[in-house]
Amino acid sequence: MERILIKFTKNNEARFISHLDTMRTLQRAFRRAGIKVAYSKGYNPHPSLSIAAPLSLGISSNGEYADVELSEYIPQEEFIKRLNEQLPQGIQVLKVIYIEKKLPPSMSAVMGAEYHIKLKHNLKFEDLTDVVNRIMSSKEIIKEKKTKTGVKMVNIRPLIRDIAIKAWNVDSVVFKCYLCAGSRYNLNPEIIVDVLKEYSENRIYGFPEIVREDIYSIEDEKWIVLDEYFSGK
Amino acid sequence: MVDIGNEILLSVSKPARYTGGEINAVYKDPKSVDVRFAMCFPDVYEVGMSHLGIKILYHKINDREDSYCERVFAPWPDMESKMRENNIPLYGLESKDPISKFDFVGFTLQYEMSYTNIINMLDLAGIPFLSSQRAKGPFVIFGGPCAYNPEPLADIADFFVLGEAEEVIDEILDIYIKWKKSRASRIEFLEEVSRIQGIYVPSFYDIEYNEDGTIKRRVQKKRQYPEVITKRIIEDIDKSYYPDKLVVPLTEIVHDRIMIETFRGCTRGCRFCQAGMIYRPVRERKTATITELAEKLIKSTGYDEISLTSLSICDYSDIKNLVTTLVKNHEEDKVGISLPSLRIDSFSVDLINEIQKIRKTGLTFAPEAGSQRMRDVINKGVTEEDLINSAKSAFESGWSSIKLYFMIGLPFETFEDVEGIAKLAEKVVDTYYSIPKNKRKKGLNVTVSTSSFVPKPFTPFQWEPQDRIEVLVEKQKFLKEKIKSKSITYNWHESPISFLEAVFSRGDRRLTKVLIKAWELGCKFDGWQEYFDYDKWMEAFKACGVDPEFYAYRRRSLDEILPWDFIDVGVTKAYLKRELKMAQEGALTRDCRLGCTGCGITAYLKGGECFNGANLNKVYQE
Repeated sequence: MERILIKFTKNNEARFISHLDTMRTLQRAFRRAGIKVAYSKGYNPHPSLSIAAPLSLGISSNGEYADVELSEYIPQEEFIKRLNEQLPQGIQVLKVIYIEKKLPPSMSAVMGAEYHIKLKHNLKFEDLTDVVNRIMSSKEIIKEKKTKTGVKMVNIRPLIRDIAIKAWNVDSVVFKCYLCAGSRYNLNPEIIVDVLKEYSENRIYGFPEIVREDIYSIEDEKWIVLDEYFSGK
Repeated sequence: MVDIGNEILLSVSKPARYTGGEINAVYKDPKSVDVRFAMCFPDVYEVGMSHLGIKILYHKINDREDSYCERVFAPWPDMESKMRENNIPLYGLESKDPISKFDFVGFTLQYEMSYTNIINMLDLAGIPFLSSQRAKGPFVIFGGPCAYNPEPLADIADFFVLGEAEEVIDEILDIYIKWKKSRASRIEFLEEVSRIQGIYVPSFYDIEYNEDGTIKRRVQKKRQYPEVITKRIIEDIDKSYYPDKLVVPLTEIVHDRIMIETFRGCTRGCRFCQAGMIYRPVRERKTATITELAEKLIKSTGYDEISLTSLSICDYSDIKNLVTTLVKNHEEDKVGISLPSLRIDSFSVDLINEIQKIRKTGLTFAPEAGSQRMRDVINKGVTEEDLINSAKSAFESGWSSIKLYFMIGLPFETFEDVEGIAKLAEKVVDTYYSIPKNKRKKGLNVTVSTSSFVPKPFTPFQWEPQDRIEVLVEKQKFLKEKIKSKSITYNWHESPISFLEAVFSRGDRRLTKVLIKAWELGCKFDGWQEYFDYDKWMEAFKACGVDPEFYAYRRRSLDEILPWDFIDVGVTKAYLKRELKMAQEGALTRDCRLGCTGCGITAYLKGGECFNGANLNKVYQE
């Protein structure tokens, strides 16, 4: 059995494939590619494949990850070529890492994610910077969070690591946001969209184009992209 | 090309329904083809994508270099309103081009309750509903099992394709391409295709009615138009077209697996069953062909499940060999086999045990009726002993949950027969408890489902009235009271939908205006409980001066001209009459594997006989 971590994209129309459907789509691509995935034991055996961090419907990604167990070894390059030939448009494998050490699933290593959020605006650059600064210097940003039992008020400020302006022109702006992600703390980028709109009194507005650029883990208190985190392990 | 926009897609449920881009979907340059064909399924994506027939035709048409076939499904109401708000016309999933620019808009008719969706889809496409209003634009055509009573859609269709379309579709497209180049009139094209066997052009006929509302006669507008329309069949299923790839959706659909059609037709002769009559004769695909297809389809789709489809899978002459071969070939790769349409016998349980090696499945049996008398009336040919024995071996093999399907409202049914359903289910419960505790699995659950019988054209019950809604509701209540065991769950289908099904399945041309009226009043997705609005339908009937009970509740006399009488499906009216009489007497007709029962279908086969392709040594063994 070979444990691998694959890094892949989810762009264009593939962003409308839900989490569960993405798993199914990957499983079928493996089968078409003739790459044998190991199966779980038990009443209803299922292929051993899990996605590191679910991505909300509609968000693109250049850095998705999945743990897969293969029943055979296939050299990286060949693996990528064979699988990519079978994946739908928008989903492409960028990297595959064989993991030899016994490590917990990548899901539990996920600590943060980098999102690029594109919105419309009618502000000057200084005002945009000011919005970002006000968000970053605030102590508390209280947002509603739906839980199983009802609605809870949560301070999301600690879940924002950084927001910066990545690109800017007269009517649109791209924010680069580093947010907590994973099973313990997770911040949906759509909440940041609300915050940006709110702090700018809707001078930042419109329908957001969100891209998850990458997923991060933490090593020695530093954020490190997930593929680097697992490389050589 | 329409621009749907991410904002719209993100505001609707399941956007992957509308984006295309699936594996094995076919993309062509529209400029490189002569014909653009919109293959429409008048229901939502997950339902339409589960239908085998359009998958076959989709690939069949696309295998032609001169034609480009795209898929079109009914947008769910949330998407529909976004499309209307943003002036997005109905488009083909592949090119995203509006289908009003296509050459053909073809709908498959699987279910009467999807008819308002057809109107809605034409409206969304900007195509006039009535064929008489379409001086240009695509030809609107229909096929599928409900086309065997085409009349309720007569004023909408340019033409109907009756029977199996794998061959006739090429003939239609060839004629169309010639016609398109000749720049002749629309009617010239229709006249040309009407010469093909299986094509029915409804505008070529007028209907005269008697004072009591029954049909007096059908008149051809020109003498050259055929009086009788004969269905198409594929003589050799084994050699007929079957795609070696299927479109694999990116969002879960209802039947999300490979489907391989093992054979067409059925010899059991159940008297309520339209499929059992219209798909005759039985023709099989050979085991070697099926296993080879399975191999190719697993490779091309990546699915991990194969469903062997047919009307009654255990009747496949080489079933045991087929199932064991498939299991053997694919056990290691974890590809499961599923067998829908299992009959009630211990053989079925053995088969299921075989496929369990790969994956566990649920178990469903369909005794159809509760009492032996009633099962004889419908010629079901299954005894209580069969069911109890199958249940017993199922429980012994580790199942503890079983589903049982029945119909209520069958012709000649009494309350005693309905009570028989409860008694039978209780006996299944008793069977479970008769097995020693250590040999059965815990947690018995018997699910009883009843649907309300809808009389269908081309069956022995085509002359029979449907039970009134009140009676059906009373029978459901009565049955609910008679079921005592806590291990039995009872589900039933709503009767008002069955009433409308009965109206349209045996309706005539006068229903087209009701359909349009109902749509105007807001009816769509009528097969979906949450959208079905009985009151609106009744309002539509009233506004059009049409009495729905005339179609659903009236017993037809045996010499009445029925709206579908001009169609020849091979099974003769004389046979159907004889079967009705036998039903009244509760007399059984044997399975035609045990000897021909003279339904008339053999007259079709040029020098051939039934069971084409079957392993004949095995066919006649019971």
